[in-house]
Amino acid sequence: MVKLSDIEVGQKVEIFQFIDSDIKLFSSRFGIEEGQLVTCTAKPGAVVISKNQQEIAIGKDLSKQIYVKVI
Amino acid sequence: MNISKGRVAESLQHLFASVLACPHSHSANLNNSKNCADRLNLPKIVLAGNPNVGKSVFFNKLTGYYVEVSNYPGTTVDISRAFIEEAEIIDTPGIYGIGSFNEEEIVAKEIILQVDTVLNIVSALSLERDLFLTQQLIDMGYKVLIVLNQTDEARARGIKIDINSLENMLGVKVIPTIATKNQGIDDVKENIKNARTGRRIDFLKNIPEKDVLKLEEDPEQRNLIYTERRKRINEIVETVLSKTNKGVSISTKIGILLLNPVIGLTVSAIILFALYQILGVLVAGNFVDFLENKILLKYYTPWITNVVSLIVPDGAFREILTGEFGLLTMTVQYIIGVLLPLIISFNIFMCILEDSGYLPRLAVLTDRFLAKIGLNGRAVIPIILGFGCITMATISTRILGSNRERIIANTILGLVIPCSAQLGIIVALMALAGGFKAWIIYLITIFTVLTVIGTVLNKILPGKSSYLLIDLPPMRLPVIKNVFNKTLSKTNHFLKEATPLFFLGAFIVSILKMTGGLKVIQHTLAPLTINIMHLPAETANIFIMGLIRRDFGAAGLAEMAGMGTHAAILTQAQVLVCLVVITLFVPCIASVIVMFKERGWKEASTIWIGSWIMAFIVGGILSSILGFVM
Repeated sequence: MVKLSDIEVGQKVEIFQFIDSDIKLFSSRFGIEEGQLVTCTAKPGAVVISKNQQEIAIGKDLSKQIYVKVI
Repeated sequence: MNISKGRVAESLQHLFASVLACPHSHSANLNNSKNCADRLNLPKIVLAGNPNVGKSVFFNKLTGYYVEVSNYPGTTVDISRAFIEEAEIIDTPGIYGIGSFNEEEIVAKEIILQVDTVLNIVSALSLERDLFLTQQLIDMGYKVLIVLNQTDEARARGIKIDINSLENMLGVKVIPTIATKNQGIDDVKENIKNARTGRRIDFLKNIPEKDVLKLEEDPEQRNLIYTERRKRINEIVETVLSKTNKGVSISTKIGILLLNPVIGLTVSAIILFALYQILGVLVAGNFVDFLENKILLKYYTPWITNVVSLIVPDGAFREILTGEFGLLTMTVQYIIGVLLPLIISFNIFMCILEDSGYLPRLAVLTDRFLAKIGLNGRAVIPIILGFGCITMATISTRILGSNRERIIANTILGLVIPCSAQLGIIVALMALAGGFKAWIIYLITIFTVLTVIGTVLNKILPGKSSYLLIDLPPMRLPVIKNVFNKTLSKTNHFLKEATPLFFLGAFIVSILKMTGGLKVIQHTLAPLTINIMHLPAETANIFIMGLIRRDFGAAGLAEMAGMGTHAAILTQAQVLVCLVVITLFVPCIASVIVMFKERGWKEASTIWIGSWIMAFIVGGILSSILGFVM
């Protein structure tokens, strides 16, 4: 298990855990939830993940609070 | 999250008061045959949906009234309403769910709570995300009609949606549309009456609809409801959505390329260079010169001066109308000859940027830097909009997640961001201030002030800033018609706001000149202008004009710097100092009024007075340094 901020571009990961419960709820509305598979498409500081056709940018500090499992 | 509930309440109060008063708003133009009583009897229907799914385009097409449309989340921060034959339509800011996570949600929630029918705009590109709000609306017992928009883009990306299954699973009618191409709009109008309540999630079956939102206020219950709702949406999406493997689209590839720091920054540099070439060289250099010198000064000014001299006897009134700061001479010349061409060309440029989907990507690229000054990447949107108009940008700081971010962003907007009209003149004057060298010194100075102010505010303001978590919209080719409409709307806004202030400013300066007040002010400001900033006493005029509007001051500066056919009375270094001071100087009266309204008198007056002090201090320091380097 690693932090989302530590993954590389092109890696596919499963969202494992959100540290902050507010962020967990807000992310759930975006369609990002624990157990979701996402791919890192860019990492210019913030982490950009894609899921189906959706692309979501997650700020660097926030990405340190999300744990993922590399697939 | 800190939300100013007073402000939200105020805007809602205004909205509902205006509904009851049935004023001559834009809606009056749409259906004059309907009187107020008829209108009040029409059902009220709210347009709701996630950010950037085309709600405003849809509102425009449905009602025929134009509200601004862009390709970034958060374009709509205010509420628009209009009447059609079938109903009264109310547009709302984009939200991911109904709750109190941010100001947009609070505003949208309060409006949705007042109606029983919702036209839910869902993007076919992001069904999984958008259906959360849909299911929540259904769970709350609303009559819903789903408008499945952007179906053309979805098809191009190989996404296929089984509309019948979607209707069956949700229990409400779904109308596919392509709002930008007018497809499906009539279908929606015809089906408004078919909006109905849908299938609620099993978890909430025994809970009365009206209690759902209250239940969601409890964190534990909310967690459970959200999980169950998400589970249901996943089931729906799995059933109705299929994908053909079309590979990665060009727009996706471009979008990813722009997120590469090297490519992204190179593109930013190219955009800035293009802006300089178009605004600084082509428009400010050639077109303004032609319009001002070959048309206005050659034909208009002598003509109006002559006409006025025939009607108005020599004296104070004639001086006010056609004197040095004349309402009919200098003011008209500044507005039509200098600012209008710059504003129009800048707005076209900005509209293309807004509609392309570039701005959210810039938000991602700038997140790292902005986090250091207490903001997140999202703040780049109000900042970029500020280059267009500070007034509009001040309002758009509402999209920021916390109060401290709004304070920082408003201070930056009030202090370091020049508006489009001012920027046009700055770009044009850079050539007179020394070209490339002047640019570098100017940018370093402004960037240093921005960093220092942001860092200090980030340190001293209590609380924590919010994180960046945004959806990146697809890159799109801007639609010419929308660029045209939006440019027209923004230019119209500028003229309406700026023209009376320009006349007021010219009037005040004329009176000051005639009564000797101008000399007194020049004399009073002399220690600042002459001793600290090493500028001629007359530059005080620019600052007085700048107090009314910064671009008005900048236009005055253009004349003193020798733009057009005027003889220069400032050296290159002095022009540069003036440009920096005018940039940092107080924003125009309209922006100050909006700032007081948005931020309250205490905070706004601190920003206002602070920008005076900062402008003159930085001007003084720069002037001393330039004494050595220029």
